[in-house]
Amino acid sequence: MQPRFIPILLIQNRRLVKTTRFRKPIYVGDPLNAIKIFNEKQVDEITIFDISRSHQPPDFDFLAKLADESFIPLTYGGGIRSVDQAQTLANLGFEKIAIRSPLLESPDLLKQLVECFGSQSVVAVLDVLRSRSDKFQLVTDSSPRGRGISPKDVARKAVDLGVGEVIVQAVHRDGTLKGPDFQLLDYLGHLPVPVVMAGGVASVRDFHALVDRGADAVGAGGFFIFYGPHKAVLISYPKPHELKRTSEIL
Amino acid sequence: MTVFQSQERRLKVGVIAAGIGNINGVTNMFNLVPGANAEVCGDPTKSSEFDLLVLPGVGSFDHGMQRLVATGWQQALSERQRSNNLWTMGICLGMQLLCESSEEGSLPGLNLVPGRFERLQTPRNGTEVKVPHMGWNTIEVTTHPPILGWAFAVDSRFYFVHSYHYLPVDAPQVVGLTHYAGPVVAAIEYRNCFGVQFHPEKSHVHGLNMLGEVVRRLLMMKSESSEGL
Repeated sequence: MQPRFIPILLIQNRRLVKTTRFRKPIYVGDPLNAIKIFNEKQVDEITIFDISRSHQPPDFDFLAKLADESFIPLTYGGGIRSVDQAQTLANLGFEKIAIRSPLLESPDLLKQLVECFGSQSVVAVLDVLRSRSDKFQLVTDSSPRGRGISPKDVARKAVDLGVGEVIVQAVHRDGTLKGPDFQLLDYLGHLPVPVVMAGGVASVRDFHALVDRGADAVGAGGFFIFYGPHKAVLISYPKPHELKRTSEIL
Repeated sequence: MTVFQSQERRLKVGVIAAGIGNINGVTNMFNLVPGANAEVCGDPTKSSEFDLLVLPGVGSFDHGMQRLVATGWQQALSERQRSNNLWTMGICLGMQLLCESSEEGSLPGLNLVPGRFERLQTPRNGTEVKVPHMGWNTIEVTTHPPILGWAFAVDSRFYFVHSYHYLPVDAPQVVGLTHYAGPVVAAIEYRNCFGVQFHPEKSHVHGLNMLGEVVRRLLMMKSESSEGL
């Protein structure tokens, strides 16, 4: 089975944006257009995070339009706070729902989501910052600079609660195209569920290196959206032969 | 005259809305298949209006069965089993629900197809695997029953996302396998019911082509039997 290379799209008030270290979102384009193009290119799957939903429910009308253009799997995260909302998303066509804040704030919600939708539909998102002293800290809405919560503990807890996949984003590499943080992957250790590593991925070589190191899938934003040294906006995706793994272990 | 020109010669596809699945995606994809006319159907009393009923599924087994019983679909699908030229297709959780039982839940399934579901174990045949089985994988066809037997092109790949799998792998109902540190049943067919473990509606052109073959086959079977009268 081929490991997945997943475009992670950030939307903010119906606009496609890109952040750098989770700050200063810049306008990149129309999300609907991006979804159409990625579908044309037959990418493995797409993850959409709406960063304008901290205290609001998901923008279902808009998400419906995005889902209608998609014949590949979609994951959505941003503002999901109830089972009903998750049900609406499932009906619209989102295979997986991603949860970040409730991991810490409402583990009961997580349990309910897993019960209703099954593990395979629930994804935990861990945003991790590397401090100056090289410690990994969990970043949340209420603690954007990270606080003393161990991402590894939270990952384990999420797995215990039944999530079917974990996305780990290296906040300090986000938008930098400086390459992924391999030590973060090492630090996380082996988890029994698929792990998607994201943050800083800048090349197909980074993709293969992360998979060699144990990632089950790789997420990227800037790599698929920017082109060239001046970061012109141009959506691209590697050809299948570039992503092919020479040793088929499974 | 081609089969697809008139409305009456199209396959009427009903996507079951019982609160357990990705109904829009499945409906959209079927409507891209020439020869199919798909719509969402929330009313089990209308089931015989549809040549093919599709049970999509995103969720957990017991939750799915509870919804099917509560909405009256469990009854309607059981009655459909004895019909000629009315078919039922299950996708992912929908395929699980067609069968006898699943380790994921304690309720019985629809029991329309023999077989049960168990959790994917790790290690599997000596290899550590991540559960759920999540990602794109290929199919190896093992038998050639009427509906699914020739629906899979070589090199087609499909999106799988599941933690439970159909057993036994060598049952006569099994049409095709995928490989994940060992065989995993990908498609089953039994009388007028069939199911796929993967999501054709999320498998892009591969899913579309497969559904196209299924629709073509069902249309042929439907017209052959009406000619026979």
